[in-house]
Amino acid sequence: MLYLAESAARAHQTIEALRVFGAVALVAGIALLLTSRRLAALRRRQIVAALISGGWVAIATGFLLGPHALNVVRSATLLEVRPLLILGLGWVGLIIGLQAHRAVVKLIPNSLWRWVALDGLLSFIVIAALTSLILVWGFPTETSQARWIFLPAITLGVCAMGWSPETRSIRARATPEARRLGLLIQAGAGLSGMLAILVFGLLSPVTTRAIGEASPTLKPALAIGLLVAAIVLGGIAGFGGRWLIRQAGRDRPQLLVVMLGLIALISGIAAELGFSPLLAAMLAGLVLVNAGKARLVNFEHLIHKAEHPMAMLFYLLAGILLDPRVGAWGVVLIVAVIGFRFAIKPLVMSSMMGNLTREVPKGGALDTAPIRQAPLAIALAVALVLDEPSALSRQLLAVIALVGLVCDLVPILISIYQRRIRHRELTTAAATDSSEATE
Amino acid sequence: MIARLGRPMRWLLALGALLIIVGAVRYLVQAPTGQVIVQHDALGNSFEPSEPGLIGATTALGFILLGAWITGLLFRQIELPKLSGYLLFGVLVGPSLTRLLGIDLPALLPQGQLRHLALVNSLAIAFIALTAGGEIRIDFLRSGFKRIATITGIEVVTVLVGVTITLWLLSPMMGFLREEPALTVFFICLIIGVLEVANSPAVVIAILGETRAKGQLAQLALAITIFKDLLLIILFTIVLAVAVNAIGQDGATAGAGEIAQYLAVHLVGSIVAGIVLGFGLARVVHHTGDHVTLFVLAVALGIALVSEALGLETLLVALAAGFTMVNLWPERSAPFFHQIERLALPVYCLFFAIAGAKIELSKLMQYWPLALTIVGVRLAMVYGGTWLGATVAGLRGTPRRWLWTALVPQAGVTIALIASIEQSFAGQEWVMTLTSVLLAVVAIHEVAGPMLFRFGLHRAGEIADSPRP
Repeated sequence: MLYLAESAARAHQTIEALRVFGAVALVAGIALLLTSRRLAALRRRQIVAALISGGWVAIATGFLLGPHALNVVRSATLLEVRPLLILGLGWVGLIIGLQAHRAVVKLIPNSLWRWVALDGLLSFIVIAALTSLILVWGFPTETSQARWIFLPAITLGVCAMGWSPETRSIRARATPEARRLGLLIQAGAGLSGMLAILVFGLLSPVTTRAIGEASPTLKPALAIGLLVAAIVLGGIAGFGGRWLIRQAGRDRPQLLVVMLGLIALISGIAAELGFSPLLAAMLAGLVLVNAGKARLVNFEHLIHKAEHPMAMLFYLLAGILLDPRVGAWGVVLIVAVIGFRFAIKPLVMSSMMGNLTREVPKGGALDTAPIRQAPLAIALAVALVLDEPSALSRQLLAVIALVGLVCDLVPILISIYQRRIRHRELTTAAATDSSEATE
Repeated sequence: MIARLGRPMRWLLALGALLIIVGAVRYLVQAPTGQVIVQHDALGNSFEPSEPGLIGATTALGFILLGAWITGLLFRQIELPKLSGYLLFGVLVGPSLTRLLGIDLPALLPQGQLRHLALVNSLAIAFIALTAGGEIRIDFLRSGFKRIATITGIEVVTVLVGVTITLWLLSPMMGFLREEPALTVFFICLIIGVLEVANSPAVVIAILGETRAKGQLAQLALAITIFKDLLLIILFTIVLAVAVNAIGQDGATAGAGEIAQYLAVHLVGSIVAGIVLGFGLARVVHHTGDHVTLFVLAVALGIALVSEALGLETLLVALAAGFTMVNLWPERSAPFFHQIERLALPVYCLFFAIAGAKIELSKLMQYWPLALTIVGVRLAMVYGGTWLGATVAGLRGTPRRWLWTALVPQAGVTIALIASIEQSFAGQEWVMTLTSVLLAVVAIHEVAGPMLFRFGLHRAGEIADSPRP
C-alpha cells in the first residue's frame, strides 16, 4: 500500500473542518449578497435593515446549519475552534476599550452617566434575581444551590444591561433634538457595554470549575485575585502594545502582526488563567488608546475594518451553538426578561433624559431604543458557552438570542406603525385642505 | 533608561519580557496528568471540559506572532534573513529544547498547543503557493522553459545519483545499516537520494518577498524550485512504491496501475482543480470590493481544506490557481495578489516559527555526524549539478554562480515525505533511525538554507541594497 494518503482520523477532522468552513463561507456569501447593490432597495426596508444589522440573518443561518436543524455543522466540532472564538472575544473587548479615549469621555454629560449607571444596576440586579428564582423553580433540588446558578444568573444579568447603539432602523425625523438623543443613545450603549464587561469579568471567575472536579465551586477570593491579574495583564498589554505599534509604524503587514499577536496573547492568557478575555482585552484597549498623546489612527482603522465580519462570524457561531430546547423555565425566563425590557428600560430613560425625550417629535421610535438588546449580549452568551460548554449554557444562549430578536423587532414595528399613522394623518389633512380650497 | 537604549536592545528586552510573561503563564497553568473528570451542569447533563492544549493554542498564536516578528527584526539588524529569525525563535521556544537540556520546566510552546495550530500550517502552504503561482508569468516560461527544464533535469539527476552512490559507498560506516541485506541498503540510499532532491518553494518565496529581489536569479530560482517540486512528487512516488515492493512488509505492495492512478489523481487532478479554481476566482474577485481581505483568507483556507479532503496536493492546487489568475486576468487579479502580499507577513511568522518548533533537537544531537555527512554530500551535488545544468543551458555570470543557493533550503515538503517513509516501512528495524537522521538533515538545511540563499541573492546583486557584482 502507498501510505501517502491521510489517516482516517485526520481525514475525519478535515471533513469536519470543511463543514465549519462551508458554513462560514455560506454566511459570507449571503452577507456579500445582502450588502450588494442589487439588494439595496430591499435593505432600505426597516425590518430587513434591522434583521441584517442585528445579525439575525446570520444567527438564523447558523441555527439552520447547526445540530438542531440540518446538522451540517456539529457543535462539538465548533468547540474545536475555541481558539478562534477566544480570539474573537478578545477582538470585541479591544474594540470596546478603544472607544474610551479620554477626550471623548470628557464630553459625556452627567445625565448620561446617571442613566447608564441606573439602567445597568437595575437591569443586572432584577434580571439576575429573576433568573436565579426561575432556575431554582425549574431545576432538581440538589442542584438549586448558588454554585450552580451563579454563573447563569450573572450572565443573564449582564446581558440585560445596556441597549443597542444602532438607531437608523428606528428612524426618527432628523431634528436637532432627535440627533442629540441618537448620539446619547449610541454613547450610552458604548458605556453600558463597558460596564457589562466589567461586571461579567469581575463576577464570572467566582464560579470555578477545577480540573478533576465534577461540579463548580464558589471562590470569591480567587475572583479578586484574577481581577487584579486582568488589570495587570491589560496594563502591560496596553503599554507594551503601544510600543509595538510604534515599532510597526505605518507598515500595514507589521501592524497586522502586532494586532493579531496582541489580541491572541491577551485573550489566550486570560482564558488560560481563568478570567474573562473580554475584560482583559477591554482594559488593554483602554490603556492603549489613552497611554500616549498620539492617536493610533492606522491601528484603529485596521481593527475596525474587521468589526463587521467578526460580528457576523459570532452571530453565525451563536446560531450553531444555541440549543432551542429551553423547556418551561426557559419560556418563563424569556417572557420575564422581555417584560422587564419593555416595561422598565424606557421608564429609566425618560426619567433620566426626560427633557430631551419630550422634545423629540413622534414618527420615530427613539424612545424605544433601550428596549433593544445590546449586540454584546450575544458575545457574552458565547463566552458563557466557551467557559462551560454544557447544555444549560447553550439553552441560555437561545434565551438571550430570542429575547434579542423580539426586543429588536418590536420597536421597529412600532416605528413603522407610527410612521404610517403620521403619513395617514398628513394625507387626510392634505385632502381636507385641498377640498376646502376647491370649495 | 529604556528610551536611551538602542533599537536592537529594546527589541531584545521586549522579547525577554514576552518570554517571561508566557513562561510565567505556562508555570501557573501546568497541564494536569491523569484522567479528565466529566463535569455536570445544573440540569444534570454531563459534558467534557476543554482540553488544556486547545485553550492554550490562542496564547501560542499570539506568542509566536509577536516573538517571531521581533526575532525577525533583530535578525534583519545583523543582515540575516528575517525568516531565519522566525525559525530560530521556534527552535528556542519549542518543546524539544527543554527536553534536550533536561530542564524540568514546562515548554513555552508545548506539543499539545502546536498540534492545534495544524490548520495554520495548511493555510500557510496555500498562501505561499498562491503567491508563487502569481509570480510566474507565462511569457517568462515560454522564453525560458527549455533552460529551466535543462537545469532542473541535470540538477535532479546529479543529486539523486550522486547522493545515492556516495551513501551506498559509505554505508558500511552507518551503524544502523550494518545488519541489513545489500538490496535493503541500496533502496535506503536511493530513498535518501530522492529525498535530498527536495527543496523548499516556501523558503524561496519568503526570501524573495522579504528581500524584494529582482533579477534573473530570482526568477529562475522560483521557477526551478516549483518545477523541481512537481518532478519530486512523481519521482518520490515511483521510488517509494518500488522500494516498498522490494523491501517492504509482506502484502504491502503497489502495482504500476495503482501508482499511475495515484499520480493521475494527485498530480494531474490537483493541477486541473487549480486551473478551474483560478478561472472561478478571477470571475468573482472584482465583486468582493472592500471584502477582498476576507476573500483571500477564505480562498486560502478553502483550498487547504478541500485539497486535504479530496486527497489533492494543496501546493499544486494553489499554484495552478494563482498562475491561471495572474496570466489570464492580470488587472482583475491585481487586488487579490496585492492583498496576499499584505497578509503574507503574519502567515510567514507563524509557518516558519512552527516549523522551527517542530525540529527535534535531540535527534540532531544524536545523529549529527551522519547528518552533517549527508548535508556535505548534498551541498556538493547541488552545487555541481546546478553549475553543470546552468552551463549546458547557456546560463552565464552571477546567476550561474549563485543559483545553487536557492536549491539548498528544505522544509515542510521534505518533512511530509519523511512521514510517508515512516508510515510505508513501519515495523522495519532501521526506519526510526533513518527518519531521525533525515529530520536532522532537514533541520540543518532549514536553518542554514535561508541564510545561504539570501547571501546568494546579495552576491548576485539582486537585492535592492546590495552592491552590483
